[in-house]
Amino acid sequence: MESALIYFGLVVIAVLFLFPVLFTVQASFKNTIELTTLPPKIFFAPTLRHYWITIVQNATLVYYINSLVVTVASVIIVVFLGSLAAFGLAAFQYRSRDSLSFTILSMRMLPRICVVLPFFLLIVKLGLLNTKTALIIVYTVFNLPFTIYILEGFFGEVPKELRDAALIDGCNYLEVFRRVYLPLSGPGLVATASFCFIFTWNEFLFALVLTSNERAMTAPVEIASVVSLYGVDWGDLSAMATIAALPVVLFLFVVQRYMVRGLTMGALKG
Amino acid sequence: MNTRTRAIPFLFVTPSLLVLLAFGIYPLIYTIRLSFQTWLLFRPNIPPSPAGVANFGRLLADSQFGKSILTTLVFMGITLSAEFVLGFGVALLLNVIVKWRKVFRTVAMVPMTLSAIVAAVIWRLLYNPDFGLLNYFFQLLFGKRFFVNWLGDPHVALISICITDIWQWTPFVIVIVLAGLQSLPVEPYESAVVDGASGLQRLVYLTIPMMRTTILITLLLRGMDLINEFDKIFGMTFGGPGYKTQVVGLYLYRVGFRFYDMGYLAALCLMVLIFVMVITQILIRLIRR
Repeated sequence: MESALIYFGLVVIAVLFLFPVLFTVQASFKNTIELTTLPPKIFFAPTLRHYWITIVQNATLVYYINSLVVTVASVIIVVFLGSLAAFGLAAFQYRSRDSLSFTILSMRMLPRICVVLPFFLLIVKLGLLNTKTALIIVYTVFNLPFTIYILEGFFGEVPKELRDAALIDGCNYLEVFRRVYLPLSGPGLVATASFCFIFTWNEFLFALVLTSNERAMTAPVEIASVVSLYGVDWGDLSAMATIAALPVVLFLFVVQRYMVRGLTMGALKG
Repeated sequence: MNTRTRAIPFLFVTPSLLVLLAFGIYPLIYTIRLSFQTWLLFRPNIPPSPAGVANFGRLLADSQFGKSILTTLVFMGITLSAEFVLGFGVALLLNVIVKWRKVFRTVAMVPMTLSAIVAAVIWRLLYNPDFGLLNYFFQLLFGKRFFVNWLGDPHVALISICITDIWQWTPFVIVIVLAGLQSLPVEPYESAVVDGASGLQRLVYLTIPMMRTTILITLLLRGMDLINEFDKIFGMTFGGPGYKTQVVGLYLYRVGFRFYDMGYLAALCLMVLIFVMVITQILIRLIRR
């Protein structure tokens, strides 16, 4: 009896979490008139009009493509650099290791707002304003501390005996990294890549400040600019939001096991 | 160990370190220098001019800045407490059941994966005073007289934003606390039951003390993100109505990218930076103990 109550409560909570998302997805298929009148219709004739307007008429696909390019590029770079650094921190013993690790982690604590200004000025100085390159650089810098921190935890779980065995067998450190640590930390790499992907795909502030047109602007900024207009069509907006949310939600279902491990690795390791 | 072997770990770390330093330290130095200057970006012909500590003096007298700090703290207080209590509670429930745990966890994680802007869009639709589902739902319960302008009413707007954030990030707390609960040892609970301890006593005297580090880290991680909160508020109210939801991030954004007052922005950024670093150091000391 008691557990039935708990299950019921959990179902209610699950519905609360899912409902707003599902509602918006449903709204993207509703006629605007049906959408803006009460009572809300549960059964209705779906329409693809909003998607047509969004993708074809307003040509917003370019923003999603920008998001994709910037995200994939920065994730690849971050995992590459971060795994090397995490290896340098986890596989060795040396005096400055803990303070180095802590310094890198503390960079994550910097409030993004405070970093926007210097980044903005630096990007302007480099002549990279409104380019995808600028975004890739910025996101790499931002994801590095977190990535190194998480991967350091995963690499730390690799038994030192394996490293020593590989060294005795004549591997240099790069090969130890490549043949021992990387394969064993598959889940960790997936987790880290997932977080970086989601964070970068969803990032807003830096994209807002550093881009101004479709040459480099990413999806969240485009959605926000539509929201600011008066007289917005909620159906179109719902369609844009659904398209933006779809990749990451699907992604979540695929990699959620790894993501949970990554989250808890970062938090429980302390 | 010879010098070459000792240098190897640094070889691996250096590329990342260089990137972080180049794009972290240099801009920081530039900001410090800028905070002592006056530079209005909407007059591009006038170069930055020295201003001594004028920016810092202005900062201390700036009531909007002070209010934005207060708003941020209130926002953090409400949201963090709610997320923590709800998240911990749900994690306790999840820890008890046997089936469907992973399914529920995955479903709950969906809001977390959304962009803050997407969450803002979703909730703006729900909060709409005329055809939003929230008002409709409460009208069904309390009659047609019920009407709340969730995002437009100065008394309610901040709470509305808190609700959205709670909806989006409680799963984060749930996931971490659940993992922590599942790694707790079983024996203390068994002896407690033998000793006749009630469920509540087990919670207060066993669970919470053993989970201390996890709890503190969760609070730290969420706290840091909440100080940074910007996207959601930008998308939902842009600080309105009448600056009631203007958190620090939003005010700084307006100074820099609406008023283009760069020197002053630099000074503000430094203040906030120092403030956050101090708080972070305190919290980390707490955790390490």
